[in-house]
Amino acid sequence: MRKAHSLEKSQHIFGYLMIIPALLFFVIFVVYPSLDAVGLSLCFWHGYGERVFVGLQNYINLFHDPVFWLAFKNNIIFVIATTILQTLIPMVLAVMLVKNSFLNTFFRVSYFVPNVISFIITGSLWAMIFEPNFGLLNTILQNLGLETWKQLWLADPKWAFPCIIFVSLWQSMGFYLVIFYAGLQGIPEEVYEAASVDGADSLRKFLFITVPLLRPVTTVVIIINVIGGFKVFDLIWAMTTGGPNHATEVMATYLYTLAFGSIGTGTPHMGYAAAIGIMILIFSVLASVVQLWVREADTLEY
Amino acid sequence: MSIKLKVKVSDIVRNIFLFIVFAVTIFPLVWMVINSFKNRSEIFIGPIWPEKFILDNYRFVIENLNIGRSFINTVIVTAFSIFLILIVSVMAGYAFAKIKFPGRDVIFLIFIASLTIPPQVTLIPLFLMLKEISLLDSLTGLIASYTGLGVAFSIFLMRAFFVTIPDALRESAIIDGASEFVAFWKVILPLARPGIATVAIFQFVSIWNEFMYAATFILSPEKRTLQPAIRSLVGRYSTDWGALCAGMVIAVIPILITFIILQKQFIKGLTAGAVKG
Repeated sequence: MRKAHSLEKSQHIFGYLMIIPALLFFVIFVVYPSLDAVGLSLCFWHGYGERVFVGLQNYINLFHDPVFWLAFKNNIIFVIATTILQTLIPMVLAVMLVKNSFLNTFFRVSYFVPNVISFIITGSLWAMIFEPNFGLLNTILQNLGLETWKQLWLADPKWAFPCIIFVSLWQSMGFYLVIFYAGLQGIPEEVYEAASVDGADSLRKFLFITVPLLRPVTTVVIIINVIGGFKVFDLIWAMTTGGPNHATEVMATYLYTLAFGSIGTGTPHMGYAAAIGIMILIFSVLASVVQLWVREADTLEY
Repeated sequence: MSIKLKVKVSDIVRNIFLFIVFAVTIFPLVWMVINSFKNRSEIFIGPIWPEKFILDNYRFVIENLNIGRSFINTVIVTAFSIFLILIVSVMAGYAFAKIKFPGRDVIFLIFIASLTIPPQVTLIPLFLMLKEISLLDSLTGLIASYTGLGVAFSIFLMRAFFVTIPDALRESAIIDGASEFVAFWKVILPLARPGIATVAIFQFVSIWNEFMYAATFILSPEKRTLQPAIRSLVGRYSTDWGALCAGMVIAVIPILITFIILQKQFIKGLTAGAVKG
């Protein structure tokens, strides 16, 4: 009895010892900065001197800041557009590539390649492609005799955002494809065979078998898209830094510009920027809560 | 006969479509590589395929822009961060999966909940904290920040992996008189290699490619890692495309080569959070 007790106790101690190193990094580099971000968002502070506590003033100012509203609106558009495109297109491609042949595997792996390349390189590369004078896209259009299709692309407020959304799709398509592909492996072949016997064509099989049975996977893909969309930064920073004239400004680029963009030329607004960070956090948490809620509903159904 | 013909035609249309997607996916990268071997005037007005391939851009970014230094910095930061993340997350992941202690589930839940915190939230406070403890503009500060940033998700992956290893292995080792540590170190850890590989690959790609922290916490050019170094090559009005492309190729090559060699593990590692099993 005493032996069992001491065994249990030594197990407790061992458990704590094993998590202490992780806890140390976690508390210092995640928990403390997160709490400090909340505190900072309640202060006026320009990066030096005393922080002045102002309560919710930064948040009130945010509500009256037209650039923040624009960034917020753009962020919502980005989330919706990328989520729709980056769910539907990978899903369709995964269905097209579901059979295990050499060519299909080749396509799947090739489509995944952009996913290992950084957003900064992806963004800079596509900024070159979209460059109006010497860029690849306008050169190709010129050579095809399609001069009238040429655009200023990233320099045109109308086109800049669609271009960025396209590049986001280019970068992440293969990633979501793999997730759908893994999900498709879980659908038994017999379901399709039974449908074939009943005379269903491929489109019907896709709409009435694949789509409903993939729902748990689709939920995961949508949530990853939504959370990623709210914190998008690198890609836009590399392609337009939020321009032209805030046309592609999102919350994270606005935050970065306010906190670090004006170094040497103006006053950083640390407290105000921190408040934007908290706004991004709130949307990110909301999306996660919805995910938990939807997953719960999914499991109840079965 | 006509049905068979229809199937063939739809197959051809499908393959053409898939090939177009392939071209749009891969050609920009090929264009990047070709540009890195062209001289300035040829990039801007010459044909896509150059008359001759030159190494001037690579010489320029290595000799004048010190990209070699950035490359080494990136290797150092990535290697040390992965090493630290692996140690702490393997230990904690094991404890969360196999060891019973009071408060375990609550602490694990806090780790998981922290995954919703976007890096932008901690960016400013971390910057201020690093400044306070004199770790701003130092690779050590960046390594520590990456470790903190990567710990929660790595623990999540490691725990999920340890859960799949039967409890009986640890228990029988303990009954045979092994200490908890020996059971972990000698019995379970050797079986954890695939899980460790998954975490290592995920963190390799994340940290090698990370930009925001690197650009904010490192100020002097000679301490820069690759992503901010490449970003600094983009000038608002006159970007040297050849140099930029050469820099990008240098930054992409290590990751692309490992991807080509370890395709399966890579794809598994990067999608591990989303795909169960």
